[in-house]
Amino acid sequence: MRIAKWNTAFTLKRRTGSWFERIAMLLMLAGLCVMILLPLFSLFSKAVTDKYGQYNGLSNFIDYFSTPALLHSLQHTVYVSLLTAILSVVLGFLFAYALTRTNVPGKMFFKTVSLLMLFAPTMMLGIGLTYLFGNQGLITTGFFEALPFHWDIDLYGPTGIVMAEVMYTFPQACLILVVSLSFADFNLYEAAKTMGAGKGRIFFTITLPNMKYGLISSFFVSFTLAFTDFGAPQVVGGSYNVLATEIYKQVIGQQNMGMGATVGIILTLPAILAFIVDRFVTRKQHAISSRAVPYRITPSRKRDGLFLTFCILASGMILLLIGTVFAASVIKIWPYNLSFSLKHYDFSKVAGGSLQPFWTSLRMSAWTALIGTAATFVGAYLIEKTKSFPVLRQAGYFLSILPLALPGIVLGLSYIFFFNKASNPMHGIYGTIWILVMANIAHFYSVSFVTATSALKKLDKEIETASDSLGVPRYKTLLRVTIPLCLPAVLEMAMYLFINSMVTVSAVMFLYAADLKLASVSIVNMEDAGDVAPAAAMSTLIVITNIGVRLLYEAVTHQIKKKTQAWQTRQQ
Amino acid sequence: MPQSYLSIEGIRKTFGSFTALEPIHIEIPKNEFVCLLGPSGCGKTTLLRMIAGLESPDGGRLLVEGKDITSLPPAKRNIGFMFQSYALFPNLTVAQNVAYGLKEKKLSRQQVQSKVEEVLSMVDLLSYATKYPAQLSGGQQQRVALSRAIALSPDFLLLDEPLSALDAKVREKLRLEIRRLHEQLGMTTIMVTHDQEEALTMADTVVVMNNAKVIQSGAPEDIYERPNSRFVADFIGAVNFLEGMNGGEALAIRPEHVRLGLGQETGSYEAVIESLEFRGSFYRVTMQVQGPLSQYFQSGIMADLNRAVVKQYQLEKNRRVFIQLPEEHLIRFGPNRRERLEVVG
Amino acid sequence: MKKWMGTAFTTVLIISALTACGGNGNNANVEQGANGNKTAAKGNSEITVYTALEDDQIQTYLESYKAAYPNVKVNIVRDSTGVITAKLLAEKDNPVADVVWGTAATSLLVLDQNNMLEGYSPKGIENIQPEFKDTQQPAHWVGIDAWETAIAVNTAELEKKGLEVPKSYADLIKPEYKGMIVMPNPASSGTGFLTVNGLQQLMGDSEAWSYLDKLDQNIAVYTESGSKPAKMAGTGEYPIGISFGYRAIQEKKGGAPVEVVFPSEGSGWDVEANALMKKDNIKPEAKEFLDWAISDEPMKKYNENYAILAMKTDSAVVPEGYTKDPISQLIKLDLNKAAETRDATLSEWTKRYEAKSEKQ
Repeated sequence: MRIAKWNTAFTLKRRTGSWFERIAMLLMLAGLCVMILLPLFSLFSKAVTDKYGQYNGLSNFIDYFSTPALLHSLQHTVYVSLLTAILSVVLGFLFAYALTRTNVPGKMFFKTVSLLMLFAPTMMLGIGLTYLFGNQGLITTGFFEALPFHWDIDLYGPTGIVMAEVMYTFPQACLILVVSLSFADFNLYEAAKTMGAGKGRIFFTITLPNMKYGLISSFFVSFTLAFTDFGAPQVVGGSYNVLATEIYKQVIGQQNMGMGATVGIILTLPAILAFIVDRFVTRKQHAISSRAVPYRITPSRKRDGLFLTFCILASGMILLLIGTVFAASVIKIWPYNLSFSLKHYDFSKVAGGSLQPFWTSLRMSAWTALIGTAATFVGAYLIEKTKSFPVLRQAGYFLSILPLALPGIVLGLSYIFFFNKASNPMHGIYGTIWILVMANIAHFYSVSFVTATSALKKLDKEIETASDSLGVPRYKTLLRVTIPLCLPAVLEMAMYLFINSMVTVSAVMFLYAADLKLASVSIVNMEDAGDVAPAAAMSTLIVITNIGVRLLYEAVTHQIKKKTQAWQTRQQ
Repeated sequence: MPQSYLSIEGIRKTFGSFTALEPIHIEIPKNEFVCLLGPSGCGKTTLLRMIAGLESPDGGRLLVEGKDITSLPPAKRNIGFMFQSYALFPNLTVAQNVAYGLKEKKLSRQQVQSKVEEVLSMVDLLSYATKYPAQLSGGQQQRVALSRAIALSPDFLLLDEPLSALDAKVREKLRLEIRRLHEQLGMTTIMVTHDQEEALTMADTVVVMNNAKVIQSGAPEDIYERPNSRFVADFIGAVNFLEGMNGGEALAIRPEHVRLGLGQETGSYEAVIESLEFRGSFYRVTMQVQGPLSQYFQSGIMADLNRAVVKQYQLEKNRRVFIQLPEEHLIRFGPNRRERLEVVG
Repeated sequence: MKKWMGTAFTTVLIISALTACGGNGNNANVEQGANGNKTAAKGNSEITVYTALEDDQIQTYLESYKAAYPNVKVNIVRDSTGVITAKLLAEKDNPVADVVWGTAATSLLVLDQNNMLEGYSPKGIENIQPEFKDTQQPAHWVGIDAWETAIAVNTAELEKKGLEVPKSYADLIKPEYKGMIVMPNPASSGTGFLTVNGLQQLMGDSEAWSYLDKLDQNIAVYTESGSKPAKMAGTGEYPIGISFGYRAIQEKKGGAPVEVVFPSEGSGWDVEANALMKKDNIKPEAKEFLDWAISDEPMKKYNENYAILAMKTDSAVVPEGYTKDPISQLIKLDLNKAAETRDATLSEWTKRYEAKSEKQ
């Protein structure tokens, strides 16, 4: 029996996967460890050391929970995030409902507008709100006294943070809810109607239960995003401290790395909870029956009118905010001299330093998109399509999904602790653009990994074995068949990585070297120094770049679809 | 028995706690057309993939003309494999698909092209060379997959449920085509199917498998006429079981061998027609045997009768008839096979 | 597929190339092409300079350095005074910086008390006025200029509210300015610290704290940066900003409706100074940098931004934006005492007013 078992192991070893595949798999795992796991270990070990690097057990945590000011930041963050998540889910639901279950005109337009916020760094939302609702804001002053009314909402503090976070998380919640509203079986609605159920009853017994996982998921996503965001509270938080700004203060202002790490771990808790809930929810969400009938929208002018009004208001707010930032960036002196001027785009006289950060961001994002797409795709391919090391593949999968639970700020901190040790053989990348690229790849790994995995899952399972049976090495088939078939997903991953690298500030703000300042970081610096208009200008540059990249992506995808139509249509 | 070309010696496989294959022994002569037949999950596809080298066995050996090929990668086994899903590369044209494996060989561009043309004309698809798979019908895709599999002039052609995705008409046509190619090219062909009719019509040898084991193998007529077990009898064609007749021995008889008359004769049983099912060229008549003998026919008895007989006797529901079970057509599993019967039943 | 990958790769390379070119012209940290300059023979070397100088000033200052030392790569680490101080203290055992440039003397004195500075008297130290440099030989720190508390007041906003422009510290605590004043947090901002320290040395400790308590009633928010209050006053976000002379004057020059007020009681001040970090490997380039930093060329540039130079000058011209000789505006101050009490002052301040500080 023992011999048989040994024999089994031996034959497995002998015959599963090529050497090439196995080496690639080990390299991928090593890469994931260096990128994610080891830095996290450094963070945890830092959280149990004091200012001078001595082990001090849980005393950082005890300190944290016994310092009222620090504890406040936790309460603030929970309060703001809860409010954000509730508002975001409600508004996102209404918007998603309008897009999927009503005959509101201009759906394409509304959908596009709702996604605009994904192209902006969160600081920009804060800046926009400052220009709208700040003490000299457009709305606060009644369009510079042009209107008879004034409206001061007392922006700085929780009001401003929640407003900014809702605008930031709204598109994400909306995307999730649109998907879960699209999966409906109209048969259920017709069955309910034939049994005489009223609209309210149908809504509460069919619509809501059907999308409960979507609601849970969007709630947690919004909560986590708001919980870990740095940009918006930095700009409109006023004296209202939250965890993310607290970490920044501990690490940058007081150079107290131990406490920074401690707060970082606390910051990760809801994200980990969200991660677990999301895994759970994804598993529970069963595929819809193949006999389901898509939802048919019944005509109702009253309903459409109400939802149209809502869509116009929501989109109007988004456009007003972005438009105001664009406008503020070309106004000479807000609010005293409203003449047109491009002087804020000359960054040499402000805390930004020059246009260099913008170029650095562009360069970093391009490298992140290129290397990140390649690495993630190969990673997903190895996990999805090979048979080597089943246990290690499981581990690889876990490590690939783990970054979903890691706030950027925590990842950034972990990177300092891990790579800034002179004893680390990879210490050399500290202070170069490569650590920024690496942090971004790690930060955004999971989403592009999932994109790649689901694209690969859609392919015929036998492509690799067919290649084996024809005597063609797998890497050739990967290049010649698999990647071309996944090209739309590959482009989507690249675009996602690029856009997010352009806007992110949390992961990179601890890592950039003096000569590698990034556009998003310079927005923080400029805003910090009171150079709000140049910060608006830099935000505008980022948004325009991202819209450009998105348009490019759409154009290329369109071309590819046209070119490959012949092999896209499936015939039965 | 002709000399064995491919020997499968004790090949076995488990996936975790699930046994996919008990140690299997099969000898396959050269140029034979062998069908592995069995219900889904019986291990037939696993066995085929092991012959191809796409799965590795936990133990046992594969020999080709006495040479051990158990650990050779698929590329070195000289096989052509046709997948159930066809696994055509959707982004490559028909010609590119067929040429895919050829390009790995040291052939000139000319040689590749002429080979592609040759095999495509064999399956009558030359005019579709520049189309993409998605632009073809299911049957055409199947033929592309087939020509891709034979393009490398393999010693073995391995077919995994090649016809299952097609509709009945096309399927029948392609059966002939695959058989024709087999004869034309003289490869050893091993086909996996769960369709007994397919196996009986196409194969020289049928290997019936169930629960990870080979139950019976032999020529189609043998398997049909002389199934060695209740499972095989039931799996291949329709059959009536006679429980516990002849002192406990299990007997069976095919419906087409059940004779029917209107008057009582020696050895005939009285029965009442329960239903008449029109099957095109014949009627399937289901009856309940009357009297004390009915205990042997617990699930009734079927007889396949041609239309003329049904007309002649004016058979209809509730009509009283007499059936005869000719001794020469009775299938006996024998007491030595009881054990297997229990396992299977 | 190869084509696609090729295209993607080329795109990235092009972006990299373009962005690299885009930066060359205006980044101090990118080396300029060498053309037989005097230090070219030394080959390439680099120094790390920590500074709290304003971002917008650093580039102009460094122009003459780059011309003189084209082959030295200068890594600038710039942050607010409080952050730079904390960073230097945190790196005490393993200093990264070679040189500290243009950072508050009160902070350098703290470093010196921690035995972190190396004595070095740069060339030309004799031209520096005695009160703006270290008394030890060789000097542990050398000043380049001094800066002082100034109040930027948005006249347009005050007019709207019908309020007078405050002229003194005493005016600032009048109840009508409630919620209108912004001031930098002394823990992070050098300007904030010199203002609080100035009040302490002007009024005495307990008097100063009771004044700050009253001022706190009028403060809308404490900022991290010393510039931000002036800029906020410039946009009218908050009409009164306690800031420093240069920044307030810049706002006015930029066209904002701002009046620069030097409090009638006198201004607190600090010296922006340079120092050499004590470490195992002190680079000659670091000393050269310190020599350059008090030479005529940069001094001229400092003078464009700061009225009070550390250098002895004969010019009696009142700088633009000032109404009288700026030195007469400065109160009598003991920098050493300020450094000694810095820690205590900051923790007292934090205890009292942290709640209103930005992001705290």
